Amino acid sequence: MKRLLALLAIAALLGGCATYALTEAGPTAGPDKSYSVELPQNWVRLSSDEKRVIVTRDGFGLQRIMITRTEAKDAFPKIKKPAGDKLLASELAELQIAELKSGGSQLANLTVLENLPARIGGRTGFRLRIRFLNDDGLAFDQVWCGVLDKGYYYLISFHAPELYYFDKYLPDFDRALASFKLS
Amino acid sequence: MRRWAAAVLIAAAALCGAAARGEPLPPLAGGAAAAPASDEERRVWEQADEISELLAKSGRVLDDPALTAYVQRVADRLFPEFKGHIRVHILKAQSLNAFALPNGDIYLHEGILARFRNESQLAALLGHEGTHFVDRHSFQSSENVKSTTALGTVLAVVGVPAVGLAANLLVMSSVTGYSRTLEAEADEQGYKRLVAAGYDPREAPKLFQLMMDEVKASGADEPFFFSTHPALQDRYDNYLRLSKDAQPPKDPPPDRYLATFADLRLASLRTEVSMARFKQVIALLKEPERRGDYPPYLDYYLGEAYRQRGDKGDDELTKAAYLKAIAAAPGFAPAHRGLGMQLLKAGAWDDAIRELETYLSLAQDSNDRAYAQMYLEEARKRKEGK
Repeated sequence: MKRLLALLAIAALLGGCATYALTEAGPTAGPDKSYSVELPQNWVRLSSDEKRVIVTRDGFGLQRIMITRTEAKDAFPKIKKPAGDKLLASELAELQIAELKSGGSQLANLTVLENLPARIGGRTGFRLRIRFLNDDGLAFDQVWCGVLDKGYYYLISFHAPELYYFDKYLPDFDRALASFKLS
Repeated sequence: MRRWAAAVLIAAAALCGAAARGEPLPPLAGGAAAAPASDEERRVWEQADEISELLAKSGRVLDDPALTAYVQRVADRLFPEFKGHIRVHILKAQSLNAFALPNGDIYLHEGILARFRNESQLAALLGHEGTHFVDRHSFQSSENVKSTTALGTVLAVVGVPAVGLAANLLVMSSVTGYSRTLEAEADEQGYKRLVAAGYDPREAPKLFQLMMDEVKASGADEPFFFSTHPALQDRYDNYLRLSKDAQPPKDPPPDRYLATFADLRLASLRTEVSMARFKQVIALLKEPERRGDYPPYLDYYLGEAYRQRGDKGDDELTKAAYLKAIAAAPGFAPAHRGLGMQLLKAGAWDDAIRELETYLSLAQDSNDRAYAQMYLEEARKRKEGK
């Protein structure tokens, strides 16, 4: 509770209208009810974000799980490519990598550590693990899991510093990923 | 705010004053005399040093001693009296870009190095950039003050935030481009250096021609290096005029450019593909003259670019390109994977199975075997009607 209060206090100072809530046990529906997911308990959810599910335990820079749902035609805005329904899983992963690299930031020189097919919400998609350095040379790891369903592109991602945080909270992410269900 | 950004802000007022006065300064003297002539100039050098330090710490500077030594050797040949004062670095970025900071640090992006076809073209660019430093273009005129957004964009391309840097108009102009007059001066002085060093001056306009062709074909914006004027055309026109009656050099330095930069060129192509920059890849590999600069399986990358583009008719172009790559280099595994995936999507199960099996036998250690195995199983199931 102390952690929540501290985060809420910081949020109140910095975030203006942002609101937060503790995650609870059991399935949580996505903002559009198109999916459900069991988030790690007692993490903090940015509940004012109406388009994404985004949760953290200690702060969004330290670890975060994020779930987004985008129309397939708008899946990759930076490279201006849609996620066509004929794409194979590896092609979808390839476009996701290109999208990340085209951010014009630290991700431009990202390294792909793992790129595998994966079952996500009962459908075949991909699971990527990437690493990049921030401006101070600190390594961050991210997992990006993507899948197409009924004209929408779902992305479930985990972000944490490679040092300590990534390995510690990866099992929480994997449990959430395994619970992800498409409606 | 970063330490260097604060320093930039503090010095900005004094620097803007110098720029506004527009006092002409003589070119730097070589050797030990290549030093700032005033406190103002020293401050700008120090700020440029901070940018250099930031870039070095960012991890975006290529750590390849052999390639860095190569480009440095060319710069030293062009500017022998500034050896040790002009330092050339390679940035891990794909844009067709280069810039010189007021402290003598020159940055060449991998993307532009991947486009050069010989040492003379590299020398033409280094002659131009080195002249900006030697002739102190940062201090020559207030005309060089450019939009603050441009510097941020240029540094962002290599992944370096430019928070606070915008205040420094002089350092900024060194990155974003100078006035037309100063750029033309850099062309002329750089050209003289090129000739004096024994390079082939006829290569200079070719460099800019090929860049204009690529920019046009790919539909990309002009490279930032030339961002402020109709710059590529200006450079081309100037170098064409300067080299109009030029003869090939009698005793040119040995040119090992293509061989030395072969790995970088291929890595750059792979990066372009991985960023789905298919227009650039197609423009590059459709050019007959350039095709010889790449390995025999280069059509695999052309196939990848057609597949990524995904226009009408691209399926056939993709397949044809993969087949061409396989014909040229049967042991090049990725072309078999690519072809297998195309055949799978087309429902040609037998052919897909053959290509995917070939891929898996050739690419024992590949990190994407799991996909190929999945596609192979799918093709087998489909073939059996399951």
